[in-house]
Amino acid sequence: MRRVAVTGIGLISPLGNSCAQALDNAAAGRSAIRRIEASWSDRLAAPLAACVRFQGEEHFPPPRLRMLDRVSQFALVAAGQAIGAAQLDLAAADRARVGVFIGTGMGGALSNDEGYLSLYRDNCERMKPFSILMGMTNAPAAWIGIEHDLSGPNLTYSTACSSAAVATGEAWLRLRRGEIDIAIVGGSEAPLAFGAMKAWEALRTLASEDPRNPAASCKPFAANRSGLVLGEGAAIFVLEDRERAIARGASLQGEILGYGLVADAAHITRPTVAGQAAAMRAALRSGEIAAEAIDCINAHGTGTQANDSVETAALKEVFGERAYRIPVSATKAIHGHLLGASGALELALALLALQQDVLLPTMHLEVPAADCDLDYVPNHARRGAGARTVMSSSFAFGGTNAVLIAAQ
Amino acid sequence: MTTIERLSRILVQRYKLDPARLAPDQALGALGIDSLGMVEMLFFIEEEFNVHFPSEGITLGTLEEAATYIDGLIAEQRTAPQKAAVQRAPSARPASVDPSA
Repeated sequence: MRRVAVTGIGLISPLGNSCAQALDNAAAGRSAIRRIEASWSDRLAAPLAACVRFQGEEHFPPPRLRMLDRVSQFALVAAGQAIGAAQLDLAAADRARVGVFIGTGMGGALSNDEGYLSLYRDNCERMKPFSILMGMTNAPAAWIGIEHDLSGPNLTYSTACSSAAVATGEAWLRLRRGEIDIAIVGGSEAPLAFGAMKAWEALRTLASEDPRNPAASCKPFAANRSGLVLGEGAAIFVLEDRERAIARGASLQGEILGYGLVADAAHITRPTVAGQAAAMRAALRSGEIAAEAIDCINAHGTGTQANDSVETAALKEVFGERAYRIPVSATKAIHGHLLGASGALELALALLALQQDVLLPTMHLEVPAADCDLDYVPNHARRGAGARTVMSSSFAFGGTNAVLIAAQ
Repeated sequence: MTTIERLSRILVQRYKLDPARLAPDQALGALGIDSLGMVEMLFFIEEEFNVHFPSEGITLGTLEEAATYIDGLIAEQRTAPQKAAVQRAPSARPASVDPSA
């Protein structure tokens, strides 16, 4: 089996649009969650989101921009960053052996929302001609393949909140087996449409606003946690056959060591300890990694009642007494939940943190919940712990649990 | 503003084309707008002139021919507003609007 290296990372994220900026903000615990200012904000119970500073006009000429939903814009720019960072000479590669694997939960939600508004509210006779192309879920992956002329597998994974982790893991499997040489992988999400936000609100999973500090409204593992806050953005990696990467003199950003994928097959929203624990074990098994080799955890840590308790119990089941000594970081507290892109952003932050030897803090954790009694690195980063291997978990509505293991 | 001037304005504003290229005998199909761009252009023309193109069989030809075609649609749909109109304009160089082309 081949080993798989990460040779490039690209980020368009609420914490910043570069790796350095995003890591700096994550380590400092600076929250990107804000009250959003939109004409419909007052119709949301808690008008909160983690937005990206991004203007499509700065990246694409008008005729092209009109074909790209925000989700594809994020994906294209982040992919360009990742390929640039990897110093990847695609002209020297067999492009049929370069694949694109992207996760997204809601695809072109903004374009769909806008189309429905014009049709149902404004009674427009015609929809914009590219409505289908902008709304279709596989547009981000397709555009990356077109932009870079990549004719290997071009696949989109939509498993709700584990989409990007699944995309990354599935690419890892193909790279490992030698089916492809390079993969552009990750996730993109742009879900901050009024319709999508109201739908999430209706499911009663969104956090209520912290009256003292809206930026602190998402509180993973805390006794007073009340739910998740939606975010947007993209994180894209270049994954590469490690030997090939070394031979071309690439700078290795890390290595993917394992991937576990287990379905709860139990409930459409309620997570299970058994499913999450099985996914963690599967990830360890896939890379023949001992549980003792895991130095830190990048938790799914949504800030919902159900997830954080179940995830804590699953960690205890897998790691036993050692679970209490493994640092667990939940960065959604400050960048929000990027849904189908969350697994990629969190893996990126986890890898960058390993490089800088920092354990990222779980912010807004004043009093942990009674059943959340692990070391969540509360409120302050720790430096110099010497962590080298991280387990990054993504669990989803629908019950698709995906766990990645990566190392420096 | 004449129809051809309004058409030219769409091309300049939306596709960032050089106005100097937009002579009346300029074939729309030779402006570097691909088949999807042509689908979009029909949308912009419909919006600008408040007309409806038929769902297929549209060939715009040159700028001048397209303007004539649009004028024909306007006249026809003014008298029979619920019915989509002229099926085809004369064309020297067809500009395909089939997005799969």
